[in-house]
Amino acid sequence: MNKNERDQVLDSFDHLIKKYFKMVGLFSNAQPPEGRLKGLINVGWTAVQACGKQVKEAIESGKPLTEVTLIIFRFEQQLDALDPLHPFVPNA
Amino acid sequence: MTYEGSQARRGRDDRNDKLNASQEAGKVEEFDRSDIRWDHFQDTFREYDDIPPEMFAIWFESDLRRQLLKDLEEWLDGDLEPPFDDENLIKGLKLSLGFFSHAQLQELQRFTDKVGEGLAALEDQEHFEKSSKSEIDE
Repeated sequence: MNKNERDQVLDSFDHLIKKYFKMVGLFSNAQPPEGRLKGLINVGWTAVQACGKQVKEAIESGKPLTEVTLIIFRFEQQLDALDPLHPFVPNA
Repeated sequence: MTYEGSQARRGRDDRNDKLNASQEAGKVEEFDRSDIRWDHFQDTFREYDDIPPEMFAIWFESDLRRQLLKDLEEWLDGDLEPPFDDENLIKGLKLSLGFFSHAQLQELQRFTDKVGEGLAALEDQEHFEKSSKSEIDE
């Protein structure tokens, strides 16, 4: 993977992190019980970290751009499914 | 050993040093930024726990964390780029800042750095356009 493609992956990953902060921020604004907010912060971040780790390993092992982008897409779907305000579970 | 001596902080400082050195040399090239960005990504997602459990209390009570929270609150009061320009999102993020871990605060701060870079680039461009226009008028 060249640097341009790697930048594209990092852009997609930044999008995932922004999605995480947006989900947490909007849920927090709805003033849920503290435990639920902390739970979302932790579970959502676990998904972000797992995605980061998989992306890092995929790039280091020479996986193509499309494959790495798909990894991020799968985790975006996970965050969508976690969103308490707008839960979205894609069709299997 | 204090938190400030930890590897995560060192990684960030090293990257900033590299970026500053490149800027001083007047050779900030796209591929340099790309490498610095990749280094940051590798540092952040190398391990699952960014702060070892025995260091967590020190981090939680540290001046560094307090300063980071203060900086982020100020950033949230400023002009923000999407998706952080939503009023409800800003309110929510302010309410949840105290629950964020070190890595989460660092990542949020990275977006503030980006906004800062974007604004600086815009100011440079505006300055350039103004000076070019005045040269043409003369």
